Amino acid sequence: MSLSVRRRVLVSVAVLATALSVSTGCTRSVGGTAQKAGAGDVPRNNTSEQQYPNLQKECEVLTTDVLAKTVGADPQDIQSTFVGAICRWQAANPGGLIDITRFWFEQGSLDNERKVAEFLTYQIENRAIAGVPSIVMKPNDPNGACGVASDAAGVVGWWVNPQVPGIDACAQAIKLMELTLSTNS
Amino acid sequence: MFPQCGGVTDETMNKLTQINGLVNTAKNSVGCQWLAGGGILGPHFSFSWYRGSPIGRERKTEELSRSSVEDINISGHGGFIAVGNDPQLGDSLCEVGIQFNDDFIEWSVNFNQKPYPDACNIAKELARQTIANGK
Repeated sequence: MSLSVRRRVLVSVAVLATALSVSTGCTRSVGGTAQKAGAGDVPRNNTSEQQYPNLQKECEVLTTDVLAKTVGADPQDIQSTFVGAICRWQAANPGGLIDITRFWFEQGSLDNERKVAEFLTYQIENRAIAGVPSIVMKPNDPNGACGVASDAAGVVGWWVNPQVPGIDACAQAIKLMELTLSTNS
Repeated sequence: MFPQCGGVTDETMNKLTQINGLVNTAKNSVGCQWLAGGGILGPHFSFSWYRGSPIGRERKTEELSRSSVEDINISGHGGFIAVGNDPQLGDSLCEVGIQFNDDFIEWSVNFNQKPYPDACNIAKELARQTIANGK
């Protein structure tokens, strides 16, 4: 889901409103007949907030301060552009802009990510990151884009896409994964 | 399986969005992002390919944030179309999510200034092209 500077404020308001409606919902009784969830004309996904308590929070596994520092940017110079199971940021390294992508597919697998990387003809290296089976992916990119995927909670991954050559994107992506895996343990 | 960027070229993005100077800033295994001049202070366009992540969660995120979210079917594949309304700009944001076998894809079209072409027509056309490129 796209997120712009202005949207960020609106999303926060939406989350707050949801939190308020949930908390006030516990303090009063409602008349009527109990009905099974999903019955009637009520739109789908009413239970998603219980099912996915981290809705809209999954991009926050690492703070933007940590992201910025890892790619050599000032913590003030990073902005989220997309949120959800795939998250994107752009950070300003003194050498040039760097796009960061995180993905978490809880029903996905490292094997499937390897198949996709093979399909896209990336160079693939197997390695352990924080003891977790992982792959490092290198497309044939003039700016040295690099990604990692690890066999954790389904599959989790990071991509670092610099807009200029000369930045060690693999080292940055691996560092982001090390920090992520330590957060989860 | 989808080719890089869902098989959509930078030229196609420039043509459909009528924005010159788009830079593909995040071309990787989960999608692509196009930004004017490569920076964030302009329109945002992106392709995302989710593998093993429920489309219902993404749809819920949209329902919490957008002015409308409806069902859509493109080339026989079901999903959602979400419209974002800005008081100054109108319906400047449109996102189309489509289930494709075990995966889902999302095209996001987000303009930041007038005039702009119909965002949902672009998102639907991009989804149609990507589905045609899918295996």
